[in-house]
Amino acid sequence: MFWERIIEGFLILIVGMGGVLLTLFIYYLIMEAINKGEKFLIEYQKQKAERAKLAASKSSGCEMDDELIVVITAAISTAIEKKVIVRKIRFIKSQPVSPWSAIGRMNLISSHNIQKHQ
Amino acid sequence: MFEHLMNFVNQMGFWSIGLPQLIMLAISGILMYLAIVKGFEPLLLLPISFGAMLANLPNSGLLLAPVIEMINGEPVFHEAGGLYYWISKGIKLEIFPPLIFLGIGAMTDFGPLLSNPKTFLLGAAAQLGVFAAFIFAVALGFTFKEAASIGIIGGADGPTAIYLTSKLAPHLLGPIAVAAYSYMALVPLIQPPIMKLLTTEEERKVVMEPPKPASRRVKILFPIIIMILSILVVPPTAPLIAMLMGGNLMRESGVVDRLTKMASNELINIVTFFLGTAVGITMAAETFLRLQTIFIIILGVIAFGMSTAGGVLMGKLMYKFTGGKVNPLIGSAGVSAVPMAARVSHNVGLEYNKHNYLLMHAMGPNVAGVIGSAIAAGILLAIFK
Repeated sequence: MFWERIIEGFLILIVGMGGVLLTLFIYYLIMEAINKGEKFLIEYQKQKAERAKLAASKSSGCEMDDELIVVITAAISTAIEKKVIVRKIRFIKSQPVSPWSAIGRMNLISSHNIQKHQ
Repeated sequence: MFEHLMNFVNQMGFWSIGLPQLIMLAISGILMYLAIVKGFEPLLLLPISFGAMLANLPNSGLLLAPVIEMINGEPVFHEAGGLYYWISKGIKLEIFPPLIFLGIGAMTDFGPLLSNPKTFLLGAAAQLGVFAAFIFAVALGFTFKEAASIGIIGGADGPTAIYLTSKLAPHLLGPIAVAAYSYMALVPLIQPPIMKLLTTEEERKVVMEPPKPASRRVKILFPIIIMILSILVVPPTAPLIAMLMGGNLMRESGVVDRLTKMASNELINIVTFFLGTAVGITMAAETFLRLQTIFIIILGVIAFGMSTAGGVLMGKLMYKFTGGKVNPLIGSAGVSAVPMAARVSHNVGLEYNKHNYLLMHAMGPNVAGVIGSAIAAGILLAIFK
């Protein structure tokens, strides 16, 4: 009777301890896999950001063709009726503005009309 | 007039108090002394000793059951029942330990474990004491259910020990809770000799590489995944794991600060007091002053020692497999006495290398031990319930 209980106890020890070890070993594998996935994702996002940065710097004028620069210079020269030298062309992204701000800005600009000297 | 005076005198507790009650009052006093003067787990040992004192003051009526009569299908209360009759329902109805786990989850940073998931294995190996003490308890004549409740002391996790014992052997709740919390306070004395015995000086000097911190996304995914898997693998552990991971999800999500603060402050503080006193009130002289209690105290220290040894031995195995990159001392932190066991690993490491900071490495197995002991409790419940 005593030894039967001890043997049964040992079986429970094996099942219990084995169960705990196996469960936590599975958790280890899962978390290891998630960490690897996370590392890959961070690396991918980094590369994506770098590519976007590169593309932005390309579109910001480094490779603007000469023909476009001539057209812009001619347009400015015609508008202000003077010879101009264009040193820098910067692209300003249009930002969404509220209609109230837009009207206010237009009023402000129109109150400072450029005086043409004949 | 004389009759009223006699009624008043007769209901005094002095006439009912006996030697067993006086011994229990002395034991409660010693536990209170350890909590207040020595600082041994005061947050729980003080309420437990206070509850034990209440349990041994006669005629208090704190545990009296209510007298209810059903009249026309409606319950009519003739006696409302004692205060602790109702408060103890928090243990019997499995409410208090899971709520404590909610608070623990909200306070615990699983980051060190997630940045080094290998330490899950140390938390698992440190449950060896649970099952080893189970065998010893069976050999001493305890029933399987009682032995399982005694064994869980080796998990070094008070709420888990109370949860399992209240389900399998509620009559042993007092001695098991006292043993569990006393030994958790004695971790700095119990563990170092075992750690030094099982490791070489060269192993103790190993400096571990600092782990990379886990990302917020991983920290949020972790409680969800562990909760789902644990409940699917060991359903009886659901109340503990669900609350632990729920609390941690609140913390890591960062969007419910108020709830996180509530769980880790007000809620856990209130529940800790009621849990402690409700456990203490089970320590009436007639249930506590038995030979069984002495056996439980001895088996408790065996369970703690074996758990420490299990963790250290797994640490040695990892030391061998990783080519000396893991310090086996962090294995002892696999018993879930958070953060005491991790501090012990750190301090023993410092004795041999003044520049070896093992604390954060040891926190990994330490929090893995919390999950490990809940899984061990779930397995024992699945076998015996």
